[in-house]
Amino acid sequence: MKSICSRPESNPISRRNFLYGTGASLGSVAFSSLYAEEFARVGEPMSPQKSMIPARAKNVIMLFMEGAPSHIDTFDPKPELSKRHLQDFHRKDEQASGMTNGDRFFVGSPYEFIRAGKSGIPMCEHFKHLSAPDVADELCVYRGCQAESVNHPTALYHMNTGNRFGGDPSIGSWVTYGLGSENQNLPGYVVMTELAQPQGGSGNWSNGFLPANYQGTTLRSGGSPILDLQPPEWKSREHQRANLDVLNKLNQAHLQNHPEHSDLAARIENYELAYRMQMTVPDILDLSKESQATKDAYGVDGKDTDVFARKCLLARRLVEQGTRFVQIFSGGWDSHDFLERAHKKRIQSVDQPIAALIRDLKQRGMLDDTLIVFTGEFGRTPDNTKRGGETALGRDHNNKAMSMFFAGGGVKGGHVIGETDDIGSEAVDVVHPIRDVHVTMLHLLGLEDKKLKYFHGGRFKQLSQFGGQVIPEILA
Amino acid sequence: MKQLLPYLFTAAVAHAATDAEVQATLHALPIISEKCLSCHGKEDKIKGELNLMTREGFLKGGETIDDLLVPGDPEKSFLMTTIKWEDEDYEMPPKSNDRLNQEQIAHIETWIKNGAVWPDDETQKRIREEDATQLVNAEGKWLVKTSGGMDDTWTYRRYSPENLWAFQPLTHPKVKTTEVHPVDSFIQEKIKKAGFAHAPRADDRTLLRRLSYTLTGLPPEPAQLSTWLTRLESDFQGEFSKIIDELLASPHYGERWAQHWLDVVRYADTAGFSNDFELSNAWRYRDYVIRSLNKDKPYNQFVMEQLAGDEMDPQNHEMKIATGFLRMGPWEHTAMLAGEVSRQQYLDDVVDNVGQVFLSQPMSCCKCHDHKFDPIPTRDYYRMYATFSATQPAELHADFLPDEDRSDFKKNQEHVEALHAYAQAKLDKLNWKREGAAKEWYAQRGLAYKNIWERGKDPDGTKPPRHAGLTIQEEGQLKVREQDVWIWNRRRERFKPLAQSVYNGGYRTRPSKYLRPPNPKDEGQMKAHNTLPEDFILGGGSVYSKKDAVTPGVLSALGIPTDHGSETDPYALPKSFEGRRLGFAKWVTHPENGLTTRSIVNRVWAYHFGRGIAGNPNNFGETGKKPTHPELLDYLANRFINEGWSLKNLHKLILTSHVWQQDIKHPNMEKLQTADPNNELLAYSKPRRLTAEELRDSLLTLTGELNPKIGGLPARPEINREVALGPRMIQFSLAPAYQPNKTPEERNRRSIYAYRIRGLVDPLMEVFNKPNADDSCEHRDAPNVTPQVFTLLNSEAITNRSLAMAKRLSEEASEANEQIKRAYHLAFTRQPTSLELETLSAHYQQMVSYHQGKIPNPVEFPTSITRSLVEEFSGEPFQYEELLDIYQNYTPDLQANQLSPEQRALADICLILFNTNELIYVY
Repeated sequence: MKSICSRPESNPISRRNFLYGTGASLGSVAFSSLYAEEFARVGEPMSPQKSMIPARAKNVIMLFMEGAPSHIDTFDPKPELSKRHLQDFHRKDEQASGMTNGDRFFVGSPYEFIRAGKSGIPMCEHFKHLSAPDVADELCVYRGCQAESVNHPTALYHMNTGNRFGGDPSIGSWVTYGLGSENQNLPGYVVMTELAQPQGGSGNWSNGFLPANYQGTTLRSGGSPILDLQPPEWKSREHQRANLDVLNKLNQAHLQNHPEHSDLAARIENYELAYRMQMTVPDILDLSKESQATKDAYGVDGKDTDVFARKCLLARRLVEQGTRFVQIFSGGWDSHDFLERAHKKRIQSVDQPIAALIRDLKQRGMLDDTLIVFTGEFGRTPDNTKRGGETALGRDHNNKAMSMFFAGGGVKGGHVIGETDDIGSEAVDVVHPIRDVHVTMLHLLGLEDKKLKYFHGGRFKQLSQFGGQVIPEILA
Repeated sequence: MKQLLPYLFTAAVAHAATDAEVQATLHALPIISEKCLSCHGKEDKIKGELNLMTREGFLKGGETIDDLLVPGDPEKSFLMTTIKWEDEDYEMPPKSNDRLNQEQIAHIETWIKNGAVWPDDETQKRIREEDATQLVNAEGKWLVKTSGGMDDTWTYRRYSPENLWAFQPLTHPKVKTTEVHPVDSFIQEKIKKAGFAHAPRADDRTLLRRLSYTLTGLPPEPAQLSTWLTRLESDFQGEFSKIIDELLASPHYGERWAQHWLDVVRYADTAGFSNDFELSNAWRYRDYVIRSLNKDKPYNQFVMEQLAGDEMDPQNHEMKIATGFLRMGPWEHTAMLAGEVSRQQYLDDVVDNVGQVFLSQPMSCCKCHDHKFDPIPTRDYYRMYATFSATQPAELHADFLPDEDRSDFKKNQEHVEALHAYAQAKLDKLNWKREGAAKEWYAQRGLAYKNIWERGKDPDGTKPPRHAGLTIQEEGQLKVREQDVWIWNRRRERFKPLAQSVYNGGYRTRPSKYLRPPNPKDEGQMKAHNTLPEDFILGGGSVYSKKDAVTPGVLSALGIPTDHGSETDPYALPKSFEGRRLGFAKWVTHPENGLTTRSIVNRVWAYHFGRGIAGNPNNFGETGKKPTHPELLDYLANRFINEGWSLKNLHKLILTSHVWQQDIKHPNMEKLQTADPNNELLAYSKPRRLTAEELRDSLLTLTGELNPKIGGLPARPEINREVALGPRMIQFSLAPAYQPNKTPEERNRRSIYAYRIRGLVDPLMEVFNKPNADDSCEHRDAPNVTPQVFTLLNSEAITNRSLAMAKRLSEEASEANEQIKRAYHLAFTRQPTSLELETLSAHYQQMVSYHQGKIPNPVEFPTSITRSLVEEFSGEPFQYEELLDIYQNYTPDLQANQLSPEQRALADICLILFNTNELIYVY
């Protein structure tokens, strides 16, 4: 679900050599004259841009828990709900989905909660690593966000692109569009999925109507990390070099005959960049360069943690090398049934890697420059249908309440912001829609949503769709 | 249309009212109403304690500002600072899309200067009514009569005429001179006026390649090209015109232009969202489009059939296929959403896309409020919504047509049955195991055994645990197998005479996994089916906020009445189940509906030139780009109507013009680029990169592998196997792996026939900018990005083409230099230069020695795959085996190890040619 479909405007100014991607037509340039302060990129598609306002963070690592973690069982304890555990009721609400209507009962959290760090942030007992004081006190837990959709793919699209129906650029695309990337030999926006692609697939990291340069690049854990990065085994690097030299010769001769065709030089340059990337990318991905202690800290090779740990460690390596935006998906959080065992396992799979990531960034002096965001697509209900009976308790989808946390650049560590009602059914304090979370993330990166716009299909478009506001309580 | 005609300005407005009152009423207060009141007035929320609904409110100010308005003194009024965005903390309105333009700022300034008068409602009404008698006011601004906005301010607002260009009736421009081609008469006049000359005609070879691609999406066949070149030498104009006819008569013309149409309507073989359900028979719509274009079906008929074919001719089964247009958007309904919300999503999508596709008006702009720029009130949005509110999506019976290709059914059926049987066997085993444990559970308690259905509603404790007898691994597997059995059973519908279509009736909440018309014997279903829908303006676009009732109707601003219209409601459509869409379709195709005809001629122009005469083919509104040659656009639209809405005639007219035949070089390029950086004058041609489909189809043509068969079940080409076999989440499970067809012949079809899965895009197509299937695509972008290099240089798909071409060359010529020459002939329809021949010949020798003694490993194709997924029940990963039946008996493409070192060296040459700029650009 990529949108490469864009406006026909072509920037006639010749584009020289580029970086990750060359020769895009950056259409908004021509329209920037409409409003003098409207954002206009300078340079090549991925060259670093000045921030619009002072930046508090330079890079983002977004940890996406697909399926929707239950706030009630992670960061938002509800003693009142536990008192009502298994109390019956019947809901008949024409505005509710078939899933949340009918005979239901309340479900208290099966977990104990601990108060972590000096700040005493409440966390589920299974966050054994995240609750360590040096990590917990970095977290800013936010309980006020409300989604709109209660369906996974639309909610995923909403959280990732600002548009429930997909097709628009993802936040990572907007950020790399707005800021470029610090390393021109690496993708500026990288996506890693745990086992499977999330619902809605690559629409979640689509460049939408932005030029294709800003699409998220998926790094695969098996096979070729970037599709077709290497030639078939029967072609050596020298062999490829020889082919490229001949190609270059033919292309140069063609260029001589078509001096007026500005795309040619850019395309020639792309071959050289690709050739270099065939070396640099595998190098970055090579975790053997990390010490055993580091790998152990993340939980690499750990029974429950290995998959997510490798991705967190890679995220740090990428950000260290100048990648702007890294997104990691963890799947399987959709606990309609058997929440007790399922959520416990899910928490255990991400707890240690995330704690290690935060600690590692801190030790390297990178945490101040890096914004970490932990979120799902919505939260979960305090109640459950009776279909599974009392032995398979779980929770349904809830777009009115959820928990997310931020850490790192510019966020108020060691705080809990916003709250939900007694039983966690909806947010009641510091309540904001998803677009405000997006605007806040952009703000921390020194980007203003109202200026970060792109002309498409006859109008200017922006991440928040219609504008939004910064959530000041989250800022340090 | 009449209301748009400029009337002579006759008298000054409103004698009783002062000039200041008139200015306030007509210019200042509407701006305040439109720009301020959504936050500082209307509804219950008043931001910053500032109420701007009255003059008093302005004077009182808000919690922080008290000098907001100083009547008579704009300088001292902080209002001016905020609307000019001069204070960073008070930029109003805060959304930059809503910002005031210079003219609006001036109106507010004048208003303050005049003392900020605020006439009472009665006076305002009188002034507005007086003003409304002038269709064109003193400033030359127009009033447009519509069905009316949500308030008078909108209803009586005025428009700059240049922003209404698309809503005006077609003008009838005469050609500027009969000395040149009619199209050129409009183009060249403008070039001359700018002080330039037009570029010369491109050379014949370049033109023929350009022509072949634009009409068929394929490169010219070398032998054919030679004949054409000879013919052009004798009589360029006459012969070029005949060659156009020949290409228009080729069945590949329909394939090529259907691809454009499918971009606009968003064709896919699946429905997207959570489950990405297969739309099993969508290919019949795709083939209908190809057929219609090849037959040169008049465009008005083509439009009517897609909107209302079933109402036009209920007995004609092809018409049920045509209305598949109304099923092309991504849509899904599951228990995760309230039925009414899903239903609204479907209708919103239809309304918006019908607007974009046929009228070049994105309708979603007026879903929540009256249109901010264009004369379309939200009432008209909901009248159009009501036009489709009796339209229900369904799979309907439609006999196979003699024209439809069913030759692939048998092979595909075997594949579907194999995977269904496999899933069923796995599921049976798990069920058997669980029921065994259940029996034991009952036996131990001395209870009679109840099967899974019988015991479903029994309370806990009186029945075995849900997954009795199953391990955590097996719990996950059970869910996957249940889904697979369902999926493959459903895919049996690929071979049934069904069409993805619509019928008329009342709404029934149905999961979209299975959409059939109601069962006449089911009373409940029939009751819903026979209930006429009621429609309302939905406040803020919320289905739960019903405002005024509306009835079906068309867009009022055009002033074109419907057949069904009355004096009081000229734009009405029937309220009965039947006839709404047909009435709408007739209005869309009314010859005076300039949106429709301009829309299609502009699209055709855009595909031939890389940009429309109006730059946003899906948006002719104020914010879309204005036409660079409005007279030409209208000339083409008129001629299109007069020539029977024939697309082929339109192509011929455009392609015989000089402007289309111009060279990309211009003698005065430097100056021209400064004066006209975007080439809006069209003084020269622009090269374009091949689209993804053209690239793949061209390579298959060069290698001789292309199977030119037209139509039929979706083909499944090889795509990158890591992607094909990569796990994709769907509800409860993973989607089945993508498997190609068994034989090269089945796989190597034109790209338009490739199975289009919304959730799984062929990386080759994606990297070369095939648009997503969720949004209507008016124009394809073609930036250069690095992953394109990886694909063209390293991918199996392209490598295999280079091997196939090497084999072809070695069969068609015996000696290296001859083979290279043959390659150039096929790829570029020319001879290599001596430098090229020398370079490649030397490289060939070098590569032969590289490949000597090396034996490439054959590619291994997995016959099954182990899947891993995090199980939601347990939070732990589990594994299961998926059968890849196709690879059990697979005929791969030609493999490297089947070729000699010489042939592999030749493949290197071919791969280099595939990567050249010369191949990928059309000049």
